[in-house]
Amino acid sequence: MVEPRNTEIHAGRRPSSPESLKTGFVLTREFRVPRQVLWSALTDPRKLAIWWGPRGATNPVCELDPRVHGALRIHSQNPDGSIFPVTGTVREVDAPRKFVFVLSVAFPPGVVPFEVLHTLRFDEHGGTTTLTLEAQPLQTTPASLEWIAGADPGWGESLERLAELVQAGPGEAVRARA
Amino acid sequence: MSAATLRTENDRLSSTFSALADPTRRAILARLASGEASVTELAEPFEMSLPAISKHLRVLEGAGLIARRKEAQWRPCRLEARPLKDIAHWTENYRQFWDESFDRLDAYLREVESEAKHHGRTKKH
Repeated sequence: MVEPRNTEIHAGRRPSSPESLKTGFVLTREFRVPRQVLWSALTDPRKLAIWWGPRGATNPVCELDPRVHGALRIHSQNPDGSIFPVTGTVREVDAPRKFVFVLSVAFPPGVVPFEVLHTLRFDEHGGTTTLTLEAQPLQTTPASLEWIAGADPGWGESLERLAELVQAGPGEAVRARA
Repeated sequence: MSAATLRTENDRLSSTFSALADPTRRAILARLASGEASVTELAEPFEMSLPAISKHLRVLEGAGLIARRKEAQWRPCRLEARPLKDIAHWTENYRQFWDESFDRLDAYLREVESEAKHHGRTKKH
């Protein structure tokens, strides 16, 4: 297995120090674009729908209101047909430097969601932007236990949303690569 | 897998996350990584009462992160590796989700850039 670059995973190493037992991870990537461009790709739901998820995933539902207390909702469909739904709330917006949100993440698909705090930092140097994602699991909420019962109806709703999107015109959201 | 089984598994994962959120409990686990220890030994590095340490140990025990031997009179605590492996597994899967997303984000940004260049060349002005 290839060792991930620029990645720090806290949990799971031999717990030789308290620091090595922290949960969550930090992921750092460089993108050769100004941070305003990167900011837009992450906070504009039409652009988010194009790249969110692993290879082959499409996002028939991708909603994001990038303001404090704004809602986020993405239903991502994998090539095998499984759905990975997330819902969340925006916590902090400091455009184009910092974007903080909490997601209820049902991962792997089908499990009771966890609340995970996501902090994205954008640092630009000479036209290249370093993006740092810090993901910190919080804990299961009572609401997330109720959520599991409604997971399947949610997918029916996704299809309706997809139909709405397609009817609305050839926006970027429907260009998500297969 | 039934919803009830999933719920139990996730409750366990959730209680592991909660247990690991506290720095004192992380320090206790790190100490136990080098071998069994009694409550008194575990309390030594902290300016905390034995009842306070015992409370942390109960949380760790509830999350399945430690086990206490019943046969010995001093009931030593030892580390249980399974919940830590579960957490590591979850974390690696979710990290990979973002890593692959960022691959696609990079590809998308390059595509937009090359389209913009192409558009620039074919512009009339």
